[in-house]
This record gives sequence, C-alpha cells and structure tokens, in this order.
Amino acid sequence: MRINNIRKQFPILSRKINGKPLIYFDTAATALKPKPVIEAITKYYSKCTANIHRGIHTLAQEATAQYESARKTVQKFINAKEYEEIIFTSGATESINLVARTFGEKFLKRGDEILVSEMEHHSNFVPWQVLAERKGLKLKFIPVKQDGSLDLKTYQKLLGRNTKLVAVSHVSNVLGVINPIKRIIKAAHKQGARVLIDAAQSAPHLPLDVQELNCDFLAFSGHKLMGPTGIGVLYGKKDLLSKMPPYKFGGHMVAKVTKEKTTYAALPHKFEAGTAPIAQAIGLAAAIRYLKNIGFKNIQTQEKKLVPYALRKLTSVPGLKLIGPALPQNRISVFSFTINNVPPHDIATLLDQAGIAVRAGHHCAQILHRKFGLSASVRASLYFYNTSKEINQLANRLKEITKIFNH
Amino acid sequence: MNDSQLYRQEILNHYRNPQNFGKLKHADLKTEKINELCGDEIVLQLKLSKGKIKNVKFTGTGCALSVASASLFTESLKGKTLTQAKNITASQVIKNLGIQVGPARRKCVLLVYDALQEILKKRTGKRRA
Repeated sequence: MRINNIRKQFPILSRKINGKPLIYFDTAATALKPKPVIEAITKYYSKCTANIHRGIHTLAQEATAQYESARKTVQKFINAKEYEEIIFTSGATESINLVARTFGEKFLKRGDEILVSEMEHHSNFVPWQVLAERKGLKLKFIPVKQDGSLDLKTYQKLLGRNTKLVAVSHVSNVLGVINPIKRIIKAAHKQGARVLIDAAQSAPHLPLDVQELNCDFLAFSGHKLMGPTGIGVLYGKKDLLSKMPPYKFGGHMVAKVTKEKTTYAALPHKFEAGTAPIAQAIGLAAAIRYLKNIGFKNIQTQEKKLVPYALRKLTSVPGLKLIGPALPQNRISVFSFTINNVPPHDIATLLDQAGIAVRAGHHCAQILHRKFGLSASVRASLYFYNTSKEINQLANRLKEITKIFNH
Repeated sequence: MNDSQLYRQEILNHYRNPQNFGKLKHADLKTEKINELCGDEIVLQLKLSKGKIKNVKFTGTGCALSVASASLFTESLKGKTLTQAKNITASQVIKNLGIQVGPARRKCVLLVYDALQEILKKRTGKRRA
C-alpha cells in the first residue's frame, strides 16, 4: 500500500492551513473523504436524483436499487445475517437513541439495571441516563482503570439478574483502547442481558462481524469511516427489531393509513420514516467499498507502524502526559494527552497555527475526564492516511509550544 | 496571526502572573461563569465605593487566553463607574488584548466580559425590583 498514492485520493490533503500543509489528526471527530466517495455522492445528485421506494419511473428505480444495494453493502460489511437487520439512521447517536426509545421503552421496567462504562461517549450515555430517570431504572458503571482498560472483575460483579442491558463502546474515542467486547457480550448473555455496542470508533479501524460477536445491537456512523455526514447504521437482531415499536412516524414506515388507525411497514422500513438519506447511504456504500479495497489488513499494518512511533514521539515531549494506555497493544491510533503548564485549548490553537488539526476539550466524554481528574485534554487521532513524518512534525511543534509557555 | 503575536510574552506573563487574581474580603457584586465547551471557569468579584469600581478580583481555572484576558480586563475596570463598565463592548475587549481569535477562542477571551455582563444584569434586575 503506497501511502503517497493513497493520500492523493483525498483532495483536502492538498489544502494549506495558515500557509502550512494540512496535517489532519482529527479523524476520530470525522474522517477525510476520498474521491470515490465524493464522486458517488455527486453522481446521485447529478445523474440519478430521485426519491426512492415509490417511483415507477427509471430514475426512481435506479435510486431505489442503489439505496437498497447500499443496505446490502453494509450488511456484508458487518456480516449481518439478514438485510432487514440494517437500519439506516442519521448516525450512531440516532441509532442509540432509537434503541433507548423503543427497546428501552417497551422492554425495560422499574428496577431493571443498565450497565454502561465510565469511558462512554455522551451519545452512549445520556440516552440511557434519561431512560433510567424516566422509567425508574438503575444505571451502573463499569469502571475504567488507570491504564485505560475496563475493570472486568467489577463488571462481572455488577452483572446480576436485574441487569437487562449493557451498553459499551468497542473502542474509546479518547483512550483509543479496544475493549474485549466478545467476552463482555458472552458474560452479559449469561445473565440474560442484551448488549448494545457503540462501534463508532471501531468500524473505521477493525473488521466487524456481528454474528461472531453475537451483539444484540450495534451502532456506527458513516462520516467516521470516510462516508458523508448524516448517515449511520443501527444493526439489531431481527427478532428484537421486529418486536420493537417504531418511534418516528410518517411516510414510508406505514402499511395502511386510515382516519381511525395506521399499521406499520415491515423491517427495515418500519424504522425509516420520511425520505431516506439517499445520497448519504450511497456515499456510505462507496466509503465501505473504498475501505475494503484498501483492506483492513493494510489499514492495520499501517496503524501498527504509526501507533508505537506516535507513542514514542509523544512521550518524548517534556511535560506531556498520555491519558490511558501507554503501550501499543490493544489500541487504535487515538492519543489523548495533557502537557504541564499548557492548557489544552492553547495547545490546539498553537498547533493549528502550524497547520496541525487536533481536538481540545472533553471529546464528549466528561465522565471519563473527571475520572482522570481532568476537565479537558488534547486529542490527536490518526488514520491510515497519516504518516510518521506528520507525527514528527506534531512532536516538534509540541516541543516548541512547551518552550513558548515555559519561557 | 502567528505565534509571536497570539501568545506573545505579554499574554503569557498575564497568564502566569495574572493581575487581580484572588478573592475579595467583602465583595459587593459577584458571579460565577463556566464555559461548558472547554471547562474554563471564572468567579468575578467587584467592590464598589462612591459609585465607582474600587476593586476587582477573579479566580478560576482556564486556558491562557481566558486568564490573560481576565487579567487585563479586570485591571481596566478599576475606577470606572458601573455605567462606564456597561459601555465597554466585546470587540473592545478583544482589541485591547491585541489578538485575533477565531469564534471558538472568542468565548475564552470573553469569559470575564460575559461574567461582568451577568453582574450588571443581576444588579439592574435588583434595582427594578
């Protein structure tokens, strides 16, 4: 895999930021888009614009075919048994909210317990917190250890016969740590609890097999794996999805509508009210095809090079403290850190002046930051289109920044 | 704007040794403000005498720009009447800091200014009641 050739496929990489070449270290926020994805989206708008599922005319049939073919592409991508198990949403956040509002509403009752981890993104925490408040459920936390890993001993203790749902991320968007979700799912099922996996940060980096994982629900967002914004996926086991009531109502999710009563469409349409994000689904399919063309093997080879190198270079910056795992194993290329005497937002601004894009703040994980005694951190998140040269530049610039602040 | 201006020595000095940092023994007016986006927080206290701001102090944690801005801004408030304080605009605050900031960092720089606006609003509210 020739990185330089790959980078040429991302038009934005030719941009200059403040006169410097763009060094994009914010993929955990959103991934850059390769030409084939951009072209697939534009093609829908320039050559194949139509609404789907209802039209008889040629354009409508083409668009419908593309949209449903995108669904099958996603199905294959995560190895779901049936295509009806793939629901298109506006993103992982909507996917999780969908489960909370339908599965949560219907199947959880007062006294039931939901387990989440301390490292969850707000999108895989607040919906459960709100559900728990509304229905009198108990919310319990799987602790995160200082090295960033989940405390599985305590998890096992927290699991009980009242546990009905475990909601946990596959990969942390702050720590970069990969959680042993297969084990977590097995243990939860033994207790009769369902499991929702937030795969927003793992889908771009690791191959997913929902049958092998045996998760009950899985959510991810298109824009984090080089697809467009505005599209995500909820995977759910068919027998669960068919029992869950819809929560968004209107066109397309209906079967028969009368003044007195309305019946609902079958899966997956039951959960896809209104006009679908057609261009976005087509873009997502193009992103998945692009990803598969590169191949997870190549992506992981590149990351296996970048991760230890980045760890070494970052820890060489005086006063820099990494949050979470200091070792290259069991993690993806996401690095959150603080630097003594230099506030995170100032680091980010000074990096931006050198053309380097990172995130500063709590990265939608206030609970995790509080656990580590922080209000904010800097996060550099890499992908296969980054290089070790860029990591060098980050480390050098960070050293400059510490000099500026310790002058 | 490059490094040398945005984080010039003067700004860093104000960050490291901010003027008016601390608590007033008997504050007349006080408020607390948090910038939820980044975790910057400030407690601003004013002491009045004969209709003028006699003393100003602030505490809290924040990024370099928010602390430096608070240091300069609180100094500029001393000796002003509340009406004069009210007439200071956000753009003047940023101009006096001598830097150009994007929308994200604007909130940091204006945290102390927003805290003052809250104090002034509370005071006007009390008056009306």
